[in-house]
Order: sequence, then structure tokens, then C-alpha cells
Amino acid sequence: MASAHDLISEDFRRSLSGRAALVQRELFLWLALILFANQLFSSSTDVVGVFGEQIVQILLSRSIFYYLGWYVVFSQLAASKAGRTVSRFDIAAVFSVALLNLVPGQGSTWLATTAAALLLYARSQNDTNLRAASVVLFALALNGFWGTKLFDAFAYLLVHVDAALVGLALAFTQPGMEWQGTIVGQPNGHSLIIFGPCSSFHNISLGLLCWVSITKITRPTWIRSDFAVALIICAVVIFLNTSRLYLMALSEDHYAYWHTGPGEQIMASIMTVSVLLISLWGAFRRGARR
Amino acid sequence: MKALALRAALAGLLVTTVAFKLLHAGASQADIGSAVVDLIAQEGWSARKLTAEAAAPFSKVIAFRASGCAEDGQVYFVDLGFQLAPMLDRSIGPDYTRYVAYLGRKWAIQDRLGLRLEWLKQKTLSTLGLGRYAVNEIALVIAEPRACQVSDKVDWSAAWRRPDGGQPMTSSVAPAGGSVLFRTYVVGDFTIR
Repeated sequence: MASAHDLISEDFRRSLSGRAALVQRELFLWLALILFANQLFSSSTDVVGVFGEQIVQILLSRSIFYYLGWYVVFSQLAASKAGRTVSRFDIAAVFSVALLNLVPGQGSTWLATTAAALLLYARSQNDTNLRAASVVLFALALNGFWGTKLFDAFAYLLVHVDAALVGLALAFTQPGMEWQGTIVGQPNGHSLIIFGPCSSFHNISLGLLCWVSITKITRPTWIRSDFAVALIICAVVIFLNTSRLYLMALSEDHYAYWHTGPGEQIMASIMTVSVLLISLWGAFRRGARR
Repeated sequence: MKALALRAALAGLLVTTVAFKLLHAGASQADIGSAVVDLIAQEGWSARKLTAEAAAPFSKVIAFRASGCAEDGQVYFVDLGFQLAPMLDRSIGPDYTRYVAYLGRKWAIQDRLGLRLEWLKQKTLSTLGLGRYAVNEIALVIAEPRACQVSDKVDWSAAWRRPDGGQPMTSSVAPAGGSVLFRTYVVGDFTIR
């Protein structure tokens, strides 16, 4: 893997010093910086406390994969060969996208991110680094906004799928357990209702963000078998999520342990490491690197 | 010189957009709980907000007693996807009727598509500055005894209506007690770190 120093070319360093003309690469880096800052601060609605604490809370409220995604966006933009002096179209497009952040509502920042991804893709031509940055921006927008909207539209159905997986596992292994709609457990005792935020769906989109980021930082171009890796990640996330729900359905003590107790941290760590390792394996496996 | 001016403009854009985000922080989902209590009180009926424990797994439940009625009605606050629909079936007794109110419309059944379309319509109007409502993604399910169906008198859409182009009507109400009805637990937020 190239070091950050290698990724930043000499003319890019000159442009940072303010001496050189503004080139496409720097313009797109500015756009990425504006989007990143706006995304961070658009989440500040739920944050309370003094300013320093707020900053820490804002930073900690995001997944490590979110920061990984942005690191890849910045590094791929910096490594891009888009060294042409900016055109009027580039300037107008970048300002238009950035100004979308002034539309009220949290969704505006994500709309701007999606528009930026489209812009980078349209301007990438044969620049694989620029295209890789646009793909990761898409993945960030999918995880942060479009995935949520898609889930909201089909939440009832998706939660039923999760409940069916847990319900079937319980019905086969635990006598007296059953599931009805989105409720699983004992008919007259401890039972769970599975609700949107605990669905596998959210972690799948986060897992895919990790996979896209790691794949794109190792090689900007896709190969066909990459998509098999994505499927493996989805399967592992669903399996771990279902396992946690299964354990919570067993008893009130299990629920307390796996829902808000140490079990939650354990399962989150296992899922994080699993997704990370599979993504790394997918990126570095024999024959995958170019 | 031109490059320097462009860089200055981009830096200005960065600061302006972030400042805008910070200034508009907190203007996300409108809380209509107090507005609903006000609407009930305007009819001369009593209203009490159940404690979080009593309302669970719903985010909020308001019980009301219409004049001349022997039993309480309830207003449940639910998400547009009706993910807690099974709990509604358990919470609302067979002697009760129910309907859904959201922004400018009412439904006799849980019409997820209709609710989402109403949200889309009002959200678009609101974004364009033409909306009458402070749009959130919370619908009301109103349950009342079959023997005493009077809640249709209430204009529930007023809970979302902007009185002066700002937040919906609000007041304060002290939470009242209640009891836990079920031992069914909601499985909530769980994300990769």
C-alpha cells in the first residue's frame, strides 16, 4: 500500500502552498472537505454539553468505517491525475453541489454527497482514482442516507425477514418458542418485538461501506469476484445479528446481557472485526491485487 | 490571483455551510406531544401522558377521558412504517375502535403507502416554503371505546400545523403514572462500532 506521502504528488503540494493555479484535483478536494465538515456537524442536533465535549461526542458518534471511507475519498482524490486547470463548468458544478448544504434539513448534506459522487464520476474519464473516490462517496451516501430511506420504505417487510430467521432458529432449537409477525419468544412469557434499528439491514450497509473502502484503497478497479466478497459480508452480518436476537429471546437475563450489557459490545466487536477481516481478505487475496 | 480568490471563496463556502448547519441544529423532528394534549384539553376532556415505562414500547402514549365516557381513549405515537403494529394489536382491546391521523389526513387502517405519500407531499411543500405543517415522521393512532366514539371532533392535523410558520403548537404537561402491560421487549439500536 502506498504511503500518504507517495499519494500526494509534487504539483499537489505546490497547489496547497497557494502558488499554483487551481486544478481539478484540488477543487474536488475542497468539495470533499466541505462535505465532510457538513456531515459531521449536521449530526450535532442530538449532542449536548460544553463545546469540547460536543466535538468529542460528534466524532465518536460515527463508526470507524465512516472515517475509513472518508480517508479513502481524500487519499484517492489526492492521488488522482486530474491536473487540468479548472474550467468554468467545474467551478459552477462544485459551488452548486456545495451550496446544497444550505438547504434546511439533515438530508441536504447527503444529497450534496450523492451529487458530488455523480460529478466526480462524470469528470473521471480514465482517472481510476477519481472514479474510486466517487464510488466510496456513493457508499457513504448509501450508508448515511439512501439506505435509511430505503429501509424506512420497506421496514415492515425487512423486520419481518429478521424475525422469521430468529423465529425459525428458535422453533427448531428451543421447545415452546414461537414467532408471530415481528414478535418472537414464549407465547405467555418472555418475548421480543424486533424493531427497525436492530435489523440486520443497517449493519449490512455499514459492512458494505467497509468493503468498498478497503477494496478501493488497495486497487481502484473492480474485479468480478469482489461481489462474492460483498455477499459473504452480508451473510456474516445477518448471521451475527440473528444470533444476537436469538440469544436475547431466550430469557430476560439474556436480553439484559446481549441488548445493553457487555454482550452488546462483544457482538459489535465480533461483527466489526469479521467485516474488516473479510474485506481485507477480499482485497488482498491471491489474484485480486493488480 | 484568480486561483487565490477561488481558494478564498471555497474556504468561505466551507465556513458558511458549516455555520448554517450549526445554526439550524435542533430544527429536526417537531415534538407534537404537547400539541396533542392541548387539542384534547380544548374539548374540555382530561388528558394525561403515560410515563415512559407505561408507554413502552411506544415512544409516547396519551390517555384521555372524554366527557360522558366511562373509559379512557388513547393516542399512540407511532413511526410511519408501523413497525410496532403487533404491539398495537396487543395494547388496544377488542372493545375499542381505532384510526390513524397524520398531517392533513386520516385512515381507518394502517396504510403505510398512504402515510408515506402524505409525508412526501407535505415534506415537498414544506421544503418549498409552501407547507402548513411542521413535518415529522410520527403518526397518531387514536383508540377509543366503541361505546363512546367522540374523538372525531378533534382536528388532529392541528398538532402539526404551524401557527406562525414555526414549530407546532406546544405547552407542557406533567407525566402521569401507569403500569407495564406486557413483558415484550423492544430490540433497539445495534450498530457496528
